Amino acid sequence: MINGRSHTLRALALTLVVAAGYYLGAQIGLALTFTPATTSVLWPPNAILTAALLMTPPRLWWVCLAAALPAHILLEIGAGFSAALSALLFVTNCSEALLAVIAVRALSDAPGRFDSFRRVAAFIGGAGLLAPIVSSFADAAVVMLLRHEAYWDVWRVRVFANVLTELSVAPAIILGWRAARRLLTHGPRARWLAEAIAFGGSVMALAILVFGRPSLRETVPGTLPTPIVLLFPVFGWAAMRFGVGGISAALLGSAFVASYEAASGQRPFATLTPVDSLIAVQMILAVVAMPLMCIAGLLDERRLATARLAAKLHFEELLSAISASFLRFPDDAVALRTALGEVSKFCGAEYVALLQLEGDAGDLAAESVWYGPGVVNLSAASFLRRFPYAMTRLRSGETVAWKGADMIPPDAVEDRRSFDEFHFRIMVILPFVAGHSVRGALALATTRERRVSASDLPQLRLIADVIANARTRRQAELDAQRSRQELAHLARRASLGELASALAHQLNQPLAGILAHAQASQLLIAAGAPAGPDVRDSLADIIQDCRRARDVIQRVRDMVAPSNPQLTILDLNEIVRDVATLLASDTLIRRVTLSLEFDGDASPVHGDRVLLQQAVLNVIVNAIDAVTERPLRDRVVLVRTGSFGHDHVQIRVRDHGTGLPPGSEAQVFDPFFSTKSTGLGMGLGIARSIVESHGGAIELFNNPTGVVVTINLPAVEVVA
Amino acid sequence: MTTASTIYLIDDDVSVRRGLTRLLKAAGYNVVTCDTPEAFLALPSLTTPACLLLDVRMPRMTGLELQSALHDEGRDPPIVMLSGHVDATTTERALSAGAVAVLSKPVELNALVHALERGLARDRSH
Repeated sequence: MINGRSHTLRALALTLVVAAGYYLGAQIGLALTFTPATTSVLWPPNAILTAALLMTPPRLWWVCLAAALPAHILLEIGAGFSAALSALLFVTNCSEALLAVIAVRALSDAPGRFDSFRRVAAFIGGAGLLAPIVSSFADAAVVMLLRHEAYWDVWRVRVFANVLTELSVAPAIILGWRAARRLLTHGPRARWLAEAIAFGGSVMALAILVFGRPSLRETVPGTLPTPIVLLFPVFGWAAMRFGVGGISAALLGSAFVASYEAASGQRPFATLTPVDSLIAVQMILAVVAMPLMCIAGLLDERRLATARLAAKLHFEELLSAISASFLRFPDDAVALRTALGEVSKFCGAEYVALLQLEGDAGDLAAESVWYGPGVVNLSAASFLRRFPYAMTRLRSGETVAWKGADMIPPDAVEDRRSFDEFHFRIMVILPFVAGHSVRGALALATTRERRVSASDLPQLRLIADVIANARTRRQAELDAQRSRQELAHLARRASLGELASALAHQLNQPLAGILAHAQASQLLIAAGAPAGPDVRDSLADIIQDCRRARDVIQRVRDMVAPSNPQLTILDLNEIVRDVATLLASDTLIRRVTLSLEFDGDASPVHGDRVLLQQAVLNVIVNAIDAVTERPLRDRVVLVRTGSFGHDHVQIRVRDHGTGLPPGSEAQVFDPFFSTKSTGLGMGLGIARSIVESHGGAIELFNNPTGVVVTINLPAVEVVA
Repeated sequence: MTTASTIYLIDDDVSVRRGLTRLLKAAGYNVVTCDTPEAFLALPSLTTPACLLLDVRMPRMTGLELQSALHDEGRDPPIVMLSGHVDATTTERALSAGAVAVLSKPVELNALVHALERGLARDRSH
């Protein structure tokens, strides 16, 4: 049993802390007693006990109560109380603390917390009111019987002395303890600390001014005799900025000063007896504090809800950032690293690795790692080797979550050693399961202490799922795009193949006729026959066949460029934009940047929208083809429009390819000329026939650093 | 070259028919023309030696179909195929069905005469 010893140690520490707290509280309480009365005007021990019980599980309550007993006896016997009185008072004190804790636990959904209206109200009702009032009946009876004091006087003093301490001491201890721990683990926040010091100083200064000697008040001109209201703004400050703990601290401070001054003879309300005067002050403080504490609880509730919403938003932002990184970065490795970096930032993990496993043996297929500062370089491959036990569990589809080396089974020696060597504090490995096999995993590790709650794991799982999905989706998209492109290309090739076949047949018929006629005539002439009717007929047939061939070509041209174009006034920039939109998915998938630079003014031309789009499309597609095989930074096609005076407008398309083979510049506009293995050699030819049919010109400039194609079209003067 | 050799030219294109007829006559062959395969099948009988000059692509019945129709009738005259667009499949099918040669349009005189002579020689040897 690893936990047995730490339990004993904790119980021992608890005993010491409770004993010391009780002793100190009782010391203060006894100091603030109006002799010869038995009952103190401010009695912190009961509230200290309440705080201890609220912070410990019920099975340890006996430890707290037992720890308080020696301190109680020691002090009270020392103060001259009889053993019986001391023992009975201990019973009433303990009954108050127990009653308070039982009531709070019954009423509150989270006893020991003060961050919602319900929790604060449960505490005020159970510990602040019910427990002191009820236990004071017994206490007053004990004091009346053993010390013969007036029952109701004792009851009155005890109720208010305890209401005020329950309200001020218990939350101050519990919340102060938590704040101190947070301060130790997270370090102080300078601004918060400065405000807390200013707040504490203000409370004490005002309390001394309000409850202190009149001579002090007289030095501040214009002050009222009992300016108790001056404390209320400070209470408000506490409620707004420091929560229930702040109010409790302010209450504690001012009650202590008030009690101390009252015990030394000061009377805030001069017309009342010292005790009544103090009770009046305590009542005012308690009555003001209670609603303010509820408001502070409400504010905390709101703050918590806001923080929860912000965390949820933050998480959603993370998820969308992961998805976006896969959309934004065409390079898979960059996208993945970015995504893992986001995960690291979000989780505070210095090491995030994505493992992709394949095959039954779970071999590593791909990897990506994000390292934070101070993490030993640990590639995904060596991660696999260094944590063999974790990998075995991962391969069977289990999630590995180790918060410390203690959680690693002792026989997983290598895992333990690696965990210590890399100074890991927390390590989580989440498998991606597809069907029945583990396809990969997201591994996270931190080298710093970090609070991890059970709710973090589903969040991490969601992150892992999002990454896995994004990758799968991206792969599917790439595959789909690729096959779509292949299909489109095949379709184009098929239809052009048919066109070429039809064209060949249509042209070869007249050519066959022409050749036959010409060769027949040659034979006839060679045989010495006069240029008789046969040769004349042949020539007539040849002419006829030539016209026929010309008609075929005209028909093909009509097919490519309709003879009745729809002429309108067009904006050249808009044509380029339309084409860019058409090509968007193509450029995305081929990771080509299409950079558009538009002339500020609209560049109007007269022409057929579809035809000009076709011409521009062909030129740009050619440019994209030229850079597709280039390194990523050169996959740029620059399209610029401009107008030159009133004369003509221009589209200039520049690629960052490697240029054309020298000497081939003149041929690029010829049909069926192509420098590409899969090219058809039609694009630029069609572009030229369209541009020329619009009265324009297309030119190509060949450089080793890329090709520039310019399309010049006559400008149109638009009459507004 | 024998004056008795007859070339049966089957092509739907009037211009090709007229040009080739004139050429083949100038080259010394007898020429019988048909504008459809059906017209050829309707001929009573063929003179010998003879060779068919057959266009592949025709509207109702292709050259290949005529070839197999003749084969079905038990007739196996030598055939030289002419095609405007020669592709591997057509060539293979025609040759494996017994065609002498598959030539592409427009055809050079030398290549045409060479193929026809091979066909005629085969017909003579039968």
